[in-house]
Amino acid sequence: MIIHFLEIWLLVAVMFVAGCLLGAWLYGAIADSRFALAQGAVADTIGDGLDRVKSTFGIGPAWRAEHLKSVARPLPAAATSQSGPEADDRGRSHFDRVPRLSAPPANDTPAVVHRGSSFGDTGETPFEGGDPARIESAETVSDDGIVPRRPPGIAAPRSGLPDNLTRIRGIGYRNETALNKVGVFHFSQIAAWTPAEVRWIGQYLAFPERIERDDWVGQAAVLALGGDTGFEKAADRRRRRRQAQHEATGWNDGEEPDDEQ
Amino acid sequence: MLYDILMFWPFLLLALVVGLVVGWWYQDPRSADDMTAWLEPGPDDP
Repeated sequence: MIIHFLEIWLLVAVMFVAGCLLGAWLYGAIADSRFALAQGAVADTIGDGLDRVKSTFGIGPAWRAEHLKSVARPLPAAATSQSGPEADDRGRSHFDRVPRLSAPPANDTPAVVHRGSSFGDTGETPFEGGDPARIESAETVSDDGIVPRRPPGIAAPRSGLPDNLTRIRGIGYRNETALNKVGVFHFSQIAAWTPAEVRWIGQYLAFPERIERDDWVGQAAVLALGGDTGFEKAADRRRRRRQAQHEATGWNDGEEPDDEQ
Repeated sequence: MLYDILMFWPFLLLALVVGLVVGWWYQDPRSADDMTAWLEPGPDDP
């Protein structure tokens, strides 16, 4: 009886493993074929559907808005009294304003030019805070000989508003918070990381090789210049769609659209 | 063994389908972020 029972479960396990291998192979095969675009669209649709269900039951992520409230600082008077297209954004949410603050003016020199120094000649004070235990582990030299080096941090986000670092694939709430604690608030800072600094951050976050694998530096370089990496979290996608709907229906009352709950 | 397969084929099929979904999801680059988001608790979590 016991052997019979085990036999059944063994069969189920074998079928599960076979399914995993088949699924992984199928994904790769379709991704390499001309159906790749359709594959992405279907995945997005399913992801949106799942997010909608989660929102319905109130289990969607609501932490982003809270986090921004905790790290954002009041805008300086000069920034709040500006006119032009930026000023029109003041009534909108942080999510919508932050990426634009990172984008340089059309004829300006890109901000990402200081390899090894994230703040160049801006006169900002280097920030040395962070979790001491984590800092100690971050400075461990590994066998490959790369000596970790702490990237320059800043005490507070420029203009009072941090960039939405979760737009980088691989950065979620926890990593964003940890980065903020070591003075990293902007895409331009991440884009300027050297390999030694990447190693330091990877060890600080206890996220070995993830930064290299996801190419945070490359993603940040694109985002710092106001570009789009093509990666968008489902929540952001939903927010943008909702904002478009608001604008289509004449929404301009200066209130933030409801964030996902 | 044959008896088991004939008797429990719906469960075996279900295991295959679940495995297929897991394998597919594992390969999908979106899963890395999903997993990150899933593992990272929000401020309200204990």
